[in-house]
Amino acid sequence: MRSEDQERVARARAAAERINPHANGAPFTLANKAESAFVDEALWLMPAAAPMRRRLEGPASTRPTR
Amino acid sequence: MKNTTIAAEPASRHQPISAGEAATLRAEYGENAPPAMHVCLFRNGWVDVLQLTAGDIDLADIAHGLALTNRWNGATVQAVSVAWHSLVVSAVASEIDPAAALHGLMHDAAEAYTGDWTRPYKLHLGPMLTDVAQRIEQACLEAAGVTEPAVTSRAVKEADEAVLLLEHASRWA
Repeated sequence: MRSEDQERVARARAAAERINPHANGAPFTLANKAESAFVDEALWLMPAAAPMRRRLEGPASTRPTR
Repeated sequence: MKNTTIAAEPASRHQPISAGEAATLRAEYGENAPPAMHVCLFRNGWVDVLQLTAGDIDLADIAHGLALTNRWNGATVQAVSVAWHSLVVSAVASEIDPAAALHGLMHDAAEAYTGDWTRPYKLHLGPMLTDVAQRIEQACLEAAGVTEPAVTSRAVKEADEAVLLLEHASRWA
């Protein structure tokens, strides 16, 4: 592997280890763990004016239902 | 009445479906039979992928869909979900450009609606596939509040490549 690619891998590995430190950065083995982590991160990052956030926080009658 | 709606789908929006296909849908789903270009979602029933707008996009559909969609067309030695991939891309992208974190998280959100098309399909199956995917991606980014994806796309692309290399180097893929 080229040295610049090794640097990119190291950077990605460090990020992965921050996301799942208990498994040395390995992917979440449980889908619900990945799902909840994704939702948490999205809610943390999404601006208040984002349409998706406004729908989530809107009146119950406008929230999506299955 | 729903059955009539299926048969009357405008040809400009959908490829017309045959009477046999319509009958199969009616037999399977009854009055809730979906038109040919609708896909099933976790939370929001059926959605027309050719008419998708930011108002149709829901975080629960994206998170659930990506958490259960595997990378590398399923050819991994363990589960490697698109949701996990997106989390790492977001983290790496934010190091390159702090404004790119949300774009990084949502860069594959369209796959909750399309599935994960591997690169050969994207590269070789022509503009129709990429046109649909790009319109869905645009709707997802707009729904998430990513207003200027062009500004952060370089950081996201770089992060995406780095995580792809990591997945390969780690022999997860």
